[in-house]
Amino acid sequence: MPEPNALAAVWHPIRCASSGAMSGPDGFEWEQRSNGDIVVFHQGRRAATLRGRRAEEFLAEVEDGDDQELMARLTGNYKRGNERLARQHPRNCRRR
Amino acid sequence: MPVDTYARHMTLLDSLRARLPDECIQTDADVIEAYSHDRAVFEAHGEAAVLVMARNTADVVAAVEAAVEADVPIVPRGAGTGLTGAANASDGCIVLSLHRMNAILEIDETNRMCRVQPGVINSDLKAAVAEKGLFYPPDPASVDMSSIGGNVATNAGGLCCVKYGVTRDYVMGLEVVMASGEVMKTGRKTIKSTTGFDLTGVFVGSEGVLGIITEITLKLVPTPPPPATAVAYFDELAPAGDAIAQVFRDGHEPSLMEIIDRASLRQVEAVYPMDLDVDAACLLLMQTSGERSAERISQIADICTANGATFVYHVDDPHEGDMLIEVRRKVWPAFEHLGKALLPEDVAVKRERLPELLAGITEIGERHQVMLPTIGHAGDGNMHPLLVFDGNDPDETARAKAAFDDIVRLALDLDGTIAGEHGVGTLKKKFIEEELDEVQLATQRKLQAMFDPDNRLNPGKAL
Repeated sequence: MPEPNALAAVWHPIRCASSGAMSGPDGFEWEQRSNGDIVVFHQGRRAATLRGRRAEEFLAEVEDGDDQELMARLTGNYKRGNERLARQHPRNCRRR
Repeated sequence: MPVDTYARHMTLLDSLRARLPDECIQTDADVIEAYSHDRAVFEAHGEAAVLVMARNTADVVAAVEAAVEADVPIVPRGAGTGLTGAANASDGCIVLSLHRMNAILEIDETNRMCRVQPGVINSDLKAAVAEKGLFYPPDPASVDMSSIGGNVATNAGGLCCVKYGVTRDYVMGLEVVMASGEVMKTGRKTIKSTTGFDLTGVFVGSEGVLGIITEITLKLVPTPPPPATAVAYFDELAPAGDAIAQVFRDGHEPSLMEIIDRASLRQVEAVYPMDLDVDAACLLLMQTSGERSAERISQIADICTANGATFVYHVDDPHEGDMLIEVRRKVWPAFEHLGKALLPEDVAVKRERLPELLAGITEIGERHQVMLPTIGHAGDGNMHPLLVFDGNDPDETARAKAAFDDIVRLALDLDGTIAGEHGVGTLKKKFIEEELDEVQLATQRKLQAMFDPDNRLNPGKAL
């Protein structure tokens, strides 16, 4: 039987989303350098640099998706206040 | 003990000892007491004379013959997880426990069926057939404790019945020890048969008053793929009822559709904090299995949204789905934390009348001033209001009993049934005449008298 805090790992994000408390990622910007590299900034600070094939993939994906979501994923920035709970999520437990 | 009662008791013990080894006969009063009742809250039970723990069909025959010889009742029982007093002892009876008869005799993959003894625990059977890629669907809440024999005797249901049906839909044949001690085989060994009347069906849900089930042949189905899951919060009950109705009108076949009301959400959240929305009127939990389950669950989620759900979430990860459904299983333990008496109701109405039933239950709880949270199988229209009260307070207990009766009558007023899946036992016997018409009731009583003319088998139950 799952532990209650493991259940919270599933239900807490739902509650956040339903109450509007969990907004999507924001504060990301990007620019392409003359050599083709993509530099991603978060809150004005450099967060990641993409080169070669990864830069090309980024440019393709940013055309038809949520660029904030994409940059959050690329930079590993998922900080929404539920990291501890998320570690207990069954999907993440399986990955460990 | 009066002289004639004592003489009958000694005759019974002599008769049993002549037929059975000592290991099958238990005369310790404390042990007998433990086997003399099920989990029904208010139902009284008699003082049994002896406990017989049968090992096989021959032992059951021996017990019945001894009961006939001593002219005493015989009360069969499975795991004792029933909630209606159907396994409660009568004065001077033999309590016949079938828990030792727990062998899975055969799993036939070609014909997708299995043959089991009645004492097999439901979840043990599920695990055994799963190893062969097969699935036995009925899943009462007592799945880890209750026996297949008891499930058949009460026609048990569960969470997945909305798609897969109840125990009755899986019983293909039975071996039954009759009140005379004769052994009868009913049903079929083939997938189809039209020979004779369906006596198997007569025994399913008969609560041990027609014969003692000693072997069961069950239909199995291929293991379904993992389900997709959706949850939906509603601020009012009526739109939730509308969503439930539309899911079926639109041709969907959810494999699970459960409802949890606000009082239950609040108690679960109080005991197992997980950030549930405790201001919602109810939460619907839904699953789809089979082909295109992810697409189906998405469509069902859209139906909930269209009917005014305040928040809907769906997922096709089976592990995450399990975690979402787990909240349903936390409701009973959450109320157990209060340390009060719990009396579960079990009524059912047609799906479109669920909002009326739920509103009526709320009104009954308020009128009698008792805690009355409700959970249930929304897809079946089968609700389990839970009366939570102080069993040591006579006034509160009386109000809980009155509320219980009012809920049954509410279900009848809504053209529903007094017993969705728990059975009748002694708990709801007084309501039988309000649901079954006079002719049907008379016919059923004649049928019972034909099977058991001396009223020896589990007397006073079901009818």
